[in-house]
Amino acid sequence: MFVDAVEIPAYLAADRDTPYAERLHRDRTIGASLKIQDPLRRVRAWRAKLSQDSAAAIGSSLGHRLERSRYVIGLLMLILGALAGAGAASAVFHYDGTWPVNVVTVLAVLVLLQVALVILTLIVMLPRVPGLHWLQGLIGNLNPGAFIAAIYKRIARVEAERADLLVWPAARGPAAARFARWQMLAWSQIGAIGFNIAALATAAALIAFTDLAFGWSTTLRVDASDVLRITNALATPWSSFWPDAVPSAALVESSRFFRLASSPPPEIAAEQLTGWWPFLLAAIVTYGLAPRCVLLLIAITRLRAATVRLLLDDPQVQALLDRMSVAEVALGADAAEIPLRATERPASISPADAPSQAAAIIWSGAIAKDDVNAWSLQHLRREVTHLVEAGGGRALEDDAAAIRSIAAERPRAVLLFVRAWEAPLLDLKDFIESLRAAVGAACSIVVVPIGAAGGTADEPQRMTWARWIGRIADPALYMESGT
Amino acid sequence: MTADLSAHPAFAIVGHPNKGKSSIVATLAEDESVAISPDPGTTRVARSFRMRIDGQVLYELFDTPGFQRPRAMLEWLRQHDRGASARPEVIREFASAHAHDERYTNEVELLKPILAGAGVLYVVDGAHPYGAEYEPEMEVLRWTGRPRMALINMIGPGDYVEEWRRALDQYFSIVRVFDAQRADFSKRLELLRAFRELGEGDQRFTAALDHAVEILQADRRERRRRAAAEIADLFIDVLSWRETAPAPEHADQSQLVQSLSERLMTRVRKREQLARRIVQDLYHHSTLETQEQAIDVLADDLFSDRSFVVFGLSTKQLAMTGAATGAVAGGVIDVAAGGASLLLGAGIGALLGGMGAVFGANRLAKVQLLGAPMGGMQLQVGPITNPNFPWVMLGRALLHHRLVAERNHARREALIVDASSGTHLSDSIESDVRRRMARAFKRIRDDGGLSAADRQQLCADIEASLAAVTEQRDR
Repeated sequence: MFVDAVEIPAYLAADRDTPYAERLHRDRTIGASLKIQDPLRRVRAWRAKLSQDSAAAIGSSLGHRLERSRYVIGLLMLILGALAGAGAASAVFHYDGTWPVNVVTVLAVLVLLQVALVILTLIVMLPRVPGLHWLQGLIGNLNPGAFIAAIYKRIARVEAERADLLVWPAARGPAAARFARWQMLAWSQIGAIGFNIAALATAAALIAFTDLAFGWSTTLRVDASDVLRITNALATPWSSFWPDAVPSAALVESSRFFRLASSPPPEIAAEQLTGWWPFLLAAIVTYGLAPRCVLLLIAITRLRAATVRLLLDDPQVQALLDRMSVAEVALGADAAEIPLRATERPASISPADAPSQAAAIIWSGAIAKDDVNAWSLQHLRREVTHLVEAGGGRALEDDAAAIRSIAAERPRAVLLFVRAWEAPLLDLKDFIESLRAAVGAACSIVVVPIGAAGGTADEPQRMTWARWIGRIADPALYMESGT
Repeated sequence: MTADLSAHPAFAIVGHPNKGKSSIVATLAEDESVAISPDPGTTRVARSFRMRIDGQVLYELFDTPGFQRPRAMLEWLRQHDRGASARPEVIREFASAHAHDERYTNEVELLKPILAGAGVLYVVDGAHPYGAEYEPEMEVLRWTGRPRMALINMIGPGDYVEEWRRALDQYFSIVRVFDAQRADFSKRLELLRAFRELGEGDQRFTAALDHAVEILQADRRERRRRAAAEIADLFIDVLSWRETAPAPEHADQSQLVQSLSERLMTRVRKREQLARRIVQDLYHHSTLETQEQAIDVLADDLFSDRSFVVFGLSTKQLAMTGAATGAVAGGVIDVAAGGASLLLGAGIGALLGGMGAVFGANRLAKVQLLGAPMGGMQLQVGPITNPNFPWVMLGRALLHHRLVAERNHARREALIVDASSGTHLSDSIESDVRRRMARAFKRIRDDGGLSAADRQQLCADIEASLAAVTEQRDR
């Protein structure tokens, strides 16, 4: 789950470079094929499907590396906790045969201190409380889980941005911070459990393999009845099923000692001095180990939920779920258009020694018949000697007649007036080829595009016609658009 | 491709070359890859554009090559005429007889979808005069016997619509004006609804087109929602980012701050570009680029003074928004005090918020010197705390979205925006929404992100802003 929570958002973040339509199609296709509705299962199924369909499976070393880091940090916490527990137990259960082990010290270190730490842990576990936020932050910063994770991250050089998930104070964003908080708490409970188990094992070993004497001593003005009340209260959880682990009034009364005395109380029987250990072990189990086990259980449960939220609250994952769920609307073409590779050979203009007189053809009503000569003189400085019409709605036979009429004049040049705004058709090309055959190769044929209101063609129109004429590749075919 | 067109409505877009057939297809199919060129013959084969929802085809358009030898074709048809009832069959014979004739490649290609059952959409240019040369091709289309609609496209400033109408009315039962270059979304839907008339009373045909219109409207809303989410995520990223670097004891800290600030700004600029690209992708404008011209405010640097002047909030608006946000924060203290504070918390919060917004406007990002976990110091620049910055980014995002969402797919020029179009965009956002957004921006800076619920709210607020900006333009 954690690997998914790291790698799926990372994959999706990089996937944003893929065109949206492609992602939409891919994700919707997978989404539509899944029958499951649960978002978590849908996302994980999407990942499985994508890995199955694509050679480039989702997955980087980062997720696995962070996962490994989590286990290593957990193990480190367990080892360090165990070492600390063994050390603490060795210290508080130390007995050199002179002064007995002080029950008060054992309770202070292995019970009271742990209860205090459990309370601090509970404060960090609480949701964000206004006014307590600074305290939660402070405790979190001092948490050994966060401390060990920060050191490990530095030593192991886990530098990726997502590595902030391992260090609560560094984690950015609510989902990441929530995950990092519960991860830190889970680690610290593992450390605490290691501590308690090692402390219990050390104490049990010392009790079993050495002879320990227990007594109680304190500077405070506490008498035996007070201590008995406290021990009875502490023993409440197990008194009903393990009465031997509840110190008796006689034991309490008889096991007090003062170090001011020159020697330990010699009048107490050795058996009586060993009577405290069941109580102490039960207290460590009840107030040290058991709460930590419960907290670990809570932390793991919450961590699992936080991992799910880490995945599902990620904006990229939300967008993925959206793409998987909403029907895909496609409008474009299935296949890409094959680009046209037109030759760029613009038309030539008439040579300088072009004749000043020419025959003319009006193609498709490009200009009124009466205006032709005036237009030609004004814009082309040529006089039209013979004029015919062709194209438009006329039959092909009429075009042929027009060509015959022009050819009969044996012109040196023919002006072909066309509508500049119309695209040149192959119909016109056929006509030019027939005209060429009729007037001979030496005759100049000059295409003259005319603007919509009888003016000259604009630049884009000229360019379109020039390219088209250039593609015909007739050496005596020119274009002039007038000035 | 044209095997069976009986299952869904299909339309062949035909006509003279360069009269905007491809533009109409590009607009209706939102496909910017359609080649649109002044040179005739750009479209060489009939190309299918199907509207599909999860693979189910609702309608199909065919972009076809223009007629090249309509008079010769009509002459052939007349030579083979066996009476009006046989004319569609003669058309089929023509296609069959010239299937491999290079002279009639275009004509055969454009007939393919029509012979397979597509309705005819004949496109002419209403900005230029009518000419008799169109009559042969209109006559050919009449011979097909298929339902026909004429679309008067406007390529240029001229107006010969009435002249065209008089001619087209003789060949087509339905004549519509449709400016492919300028048609907005509502015009596209209007045209699609008009296509129903080609169904000749076929209920399935009408239902499919009605369904297509509904789907397109829902899809439009969906795109806006997704664009809002993308913009919200842009904020979440950008406002939470920090740049850090080790700060040795004798290092020049001001230079380090400058270098980290540059790094942060570069990262932010790239993120904004990514968000823009995704928004463009959503609206099928993947290749659209903003032209880097002086008048183009969207091409201006995000951190430039002009971006702040054009898109940012005014000092008064900043103070008001800051005060309102501060008042809410102070109000929490009042609630905690059970009213004993006599609303002092809200008052002080408003004052501090307002002053903070105004006086913080000159600084871009927070700069901190932090202790590293294993010794040494680190310099951190970020998050961006300038109170006006999110509004600048929002203004740019709103304007960019509006231009992209409204842009027609037949247009090929770069996106050029007048500086004045960006101003006062923030005014169109309701003050309540603006306050909620300001709180979300603060939360992103403080917490490094937003919870799922807060993100949803920010998405909804941005979506409302996108809608408001579009409506502002419509007014």
